[in-house]
Amino acid sequence: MEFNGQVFALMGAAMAALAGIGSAIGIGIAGQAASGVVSEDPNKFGQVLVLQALPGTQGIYGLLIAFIILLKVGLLGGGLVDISVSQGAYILAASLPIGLVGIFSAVAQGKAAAAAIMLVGKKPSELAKGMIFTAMVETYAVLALLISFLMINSIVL
Amino acid sequence: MANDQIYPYAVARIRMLERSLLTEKNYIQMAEAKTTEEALKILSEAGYGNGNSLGVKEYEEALAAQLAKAYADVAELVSGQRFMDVFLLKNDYHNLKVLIKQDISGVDGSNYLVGGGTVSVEVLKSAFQMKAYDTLPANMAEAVAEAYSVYGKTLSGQMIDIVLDKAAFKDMNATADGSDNNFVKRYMQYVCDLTNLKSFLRIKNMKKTFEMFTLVFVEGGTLGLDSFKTAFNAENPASGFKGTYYEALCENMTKGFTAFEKQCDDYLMLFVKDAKYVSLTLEPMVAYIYARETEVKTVRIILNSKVNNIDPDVIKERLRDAYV
Repeated sequence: MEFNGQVFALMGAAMAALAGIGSAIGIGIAGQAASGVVSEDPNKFGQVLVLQALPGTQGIYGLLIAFIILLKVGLLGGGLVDISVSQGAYILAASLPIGLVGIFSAVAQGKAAAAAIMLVGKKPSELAKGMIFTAMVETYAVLALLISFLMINSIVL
Repeated sequence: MANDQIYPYAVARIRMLERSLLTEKNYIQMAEAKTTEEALKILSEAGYGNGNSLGVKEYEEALAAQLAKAYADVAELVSGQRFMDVFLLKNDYHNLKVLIKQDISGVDGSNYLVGGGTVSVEVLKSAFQMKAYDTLPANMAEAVAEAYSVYGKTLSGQMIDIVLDKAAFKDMNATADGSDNNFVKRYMQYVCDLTNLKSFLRIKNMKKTFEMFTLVFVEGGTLGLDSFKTAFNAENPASGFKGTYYEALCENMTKGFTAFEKQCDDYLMLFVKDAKYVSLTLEPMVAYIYARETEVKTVRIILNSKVNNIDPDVIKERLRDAYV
């Protein structure tokens, strides 16, 4: 098989999807904290569940970018289009922001979510504040998503 | 710190358990209660004695149970971590003292034995009954042997205490050093320093010699024997600790031993309170145990004062800072 740009393009899609690693770790950390709170007060399940889910968005952003890449290279629409090595490398580069920022921001967000879950455990009325603190981390995942999206959109195949 | 192991479940549980800690408001209400019964009612409403009303004769049990529960809760959450022993070992060595003295004097000391050590009271008792000290952990067996031999030479009960206290601190320091958590190590350093400062003031107030202090001095703190020597010979002992972490604390030395002891507990509490702002690592567990120990101590002070009809204002002066 000839080594061409398609390999890079698919690596780009894979890279974007790796943001899910961060989400899994982040949700795992938050989930442990959530169990700790629920073990003492089962009524808080609903409140802590919302917070636990927050670090999951990075995985979704990664999935979104991966989909866009796959659509762009025609893998989902039947038959890969021909891509030069440099075009493939562009796509790989474009996937880096959401791939890398996704992993690290989701872990960080998981820790913030765990702290917010403990806050809700102690002071249930402060759920909204806990969510805001946790959602702050989201900003950077969204920025990375935006950059990845803009880059891929402007690559002409 | 970044590489410290994280315990989200354990810390979240501890945060929930912290809600049941008594607050300063509880303490003051208890101190101002008209009778011991009323103070006990406040205590049982705050969760002591499993919600049953407490009798004047039963509160010691309820306090012991509360402390044992705190030890058990934390031990369950961080199994495999030895830092707990920093807190538990003092109970072991206390029991050893009781058992040695019981052995020597022939007076039954069972009432003075406490639970919550690393070795159960039964094991300790049977080791003493059969004189099989090698069934104890090596450090303890060594300390017991030394205590007997020192007692043989001096016939002084106080020497038993001194030998075992030193051994206890050696053991606790070794445990803290073996822990990979800096908070535990620093906590232990503070405990050593504060213990030395308290012994220092007690010996100074009793007008004993500095040699006496060198006997009880424990290693492991940041204050060396030299600073104590300077302080001992100075007119104002606090001047010996200028420039150390304890400068402000030592200003209180002139207010009498009881007041200084309270200040020492509050000083340590201030350090431990840092753990409030840590959300994933071990610190809150350490802090929770210290918070519970201090709480039980404070409640005991209040109730004993109540039983003896001490004025609420005097009791309030003796209250320790609460963690929450």
